[in-house]
Amino acid sequence: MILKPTLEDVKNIGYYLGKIIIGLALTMLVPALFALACAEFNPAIDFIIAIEITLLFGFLLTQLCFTEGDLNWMQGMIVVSLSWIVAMLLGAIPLYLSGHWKSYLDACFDAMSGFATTGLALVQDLDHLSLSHNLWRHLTMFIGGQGIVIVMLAFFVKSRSGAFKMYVGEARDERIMPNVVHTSRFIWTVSIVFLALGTLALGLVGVLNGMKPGNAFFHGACVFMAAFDTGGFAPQSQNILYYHSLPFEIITIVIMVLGAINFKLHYHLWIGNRKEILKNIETKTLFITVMLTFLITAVGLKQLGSYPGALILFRKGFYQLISGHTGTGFQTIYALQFGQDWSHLALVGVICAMALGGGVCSTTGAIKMLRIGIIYKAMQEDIKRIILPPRAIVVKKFHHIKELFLEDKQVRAALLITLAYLLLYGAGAIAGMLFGYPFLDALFESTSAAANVGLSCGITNISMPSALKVTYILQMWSGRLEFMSVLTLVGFFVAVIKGK
Amino acid sequence: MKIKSLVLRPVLGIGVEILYALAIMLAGFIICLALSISR
Repeated sequence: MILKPTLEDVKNIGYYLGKIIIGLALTMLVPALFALACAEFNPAIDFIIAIEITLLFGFLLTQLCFTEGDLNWMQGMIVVSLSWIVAMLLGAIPLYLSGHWKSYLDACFDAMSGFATTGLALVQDLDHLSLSHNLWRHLTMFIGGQGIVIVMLAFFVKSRSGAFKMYVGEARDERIMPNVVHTSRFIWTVSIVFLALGTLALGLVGVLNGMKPGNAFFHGACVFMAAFDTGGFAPQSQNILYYHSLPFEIITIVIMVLGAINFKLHYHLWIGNRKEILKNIETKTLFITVMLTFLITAVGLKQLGSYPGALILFRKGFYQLISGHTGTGFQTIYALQFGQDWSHLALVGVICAMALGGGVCSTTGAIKMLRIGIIYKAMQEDIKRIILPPRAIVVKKFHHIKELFLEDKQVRAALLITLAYLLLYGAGAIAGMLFGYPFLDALFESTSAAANVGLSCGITNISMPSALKVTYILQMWSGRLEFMSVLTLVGFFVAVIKGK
Repeated sequence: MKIKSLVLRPVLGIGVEILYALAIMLAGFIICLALSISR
């Protein structure tokens, strides 16, 4: 029997959702103040309108649903899944008001793409977008990469047990510190430290390449936010190709890899456990899968002879591959070049890389390295069991911060999430084919959306069908949250309709 | 002691992370080099 949700459930969900919305309004102050500082008065008005609507909505929810109760698991999951949808709807307001998006749906698409750190974009005439709107696009990635709820946990939430339920709901199942609020603050500390270093490095390269200092550091900050949060937006329509700079590409590769590293691993490396990087199952798996998928891609590229030299193969082939594998989506080629210069084998290599992703508890999407490592170890264990005599005891261990025994429940969880991702990639590809796109292109774009990557082979553009835009929005949302909180939300609505 | 734990260890940690990223990049470039000189 399904139980109908109670008024207390609705009030708890509404109250915490309201708090998150108020937090979102406060983050919009950054581009609003930036717009005023840059004398961009019309964009400033766009942000002021968006802040007012967001604050009004947040305050209404917290007042109407005021409660002192704590969140249970179901409520925590629903708050998380709803907060991402609401963030998309409200975060899209200043984008839509700018006039650079054809419709509100297009603005919502870019807002979800930003928050989910995907990087697929439907913006028009990006090269003439105001600085403050551009900052907001990249800030959505910085907020979404760490987690919308993490922002709230780090700065606003007092309740510890309710906080943990929301933390888990946002696809972060690793506790770095015993206290989840301290964990959230550590995640932000890492991000801010790297923001300073990354902006400085990219800004200096920009200055050396002849950009004006203010412009160079603005681009540096935006590109850093998109790279570290494995997002993929860039301030110019040509993406990273705009800079035509090998040092810029090398620095962004480093930042993308840093973004794909588990925050728990960052923590252990920062407290002095430096050998962990050589032993950790995630870093080892990432290294191996990057090499394997790149080998497939490079052989595929060699078939067509598109990039004959080593350096050009590195800058065009390896760059797109590492961008796809880390879930970033930066491009140093035009989208249509995937269809013209890349063989099917090369595309398959990139699709595999996109499907795998980076570390768990990092800013990447997709299946993730820990799960791939666990599945590989489980397969090894099963093969050993077949080969060895029946009496032999096979004990399998793996190293993730400490030595851990491989348990059936870990394998089951890893396989279930992997299966869910594969189904999501497949479902999006079928949706693309229903609208007449070829199989490989549809699979490429679907995997890119569901794995929160952002590489595009050209399907994502303003003229694609609205239904496909909505499909990709749903894929980005469920892929970023790793299904559990999304499925809980579906279950909640079923309980509202069918519950007794 | 405090400086060591607050500054030096994180700096070395960041250094190790950057080296890891550079190692991935170098390995990728070696594949590019090997493929470009092979027939």
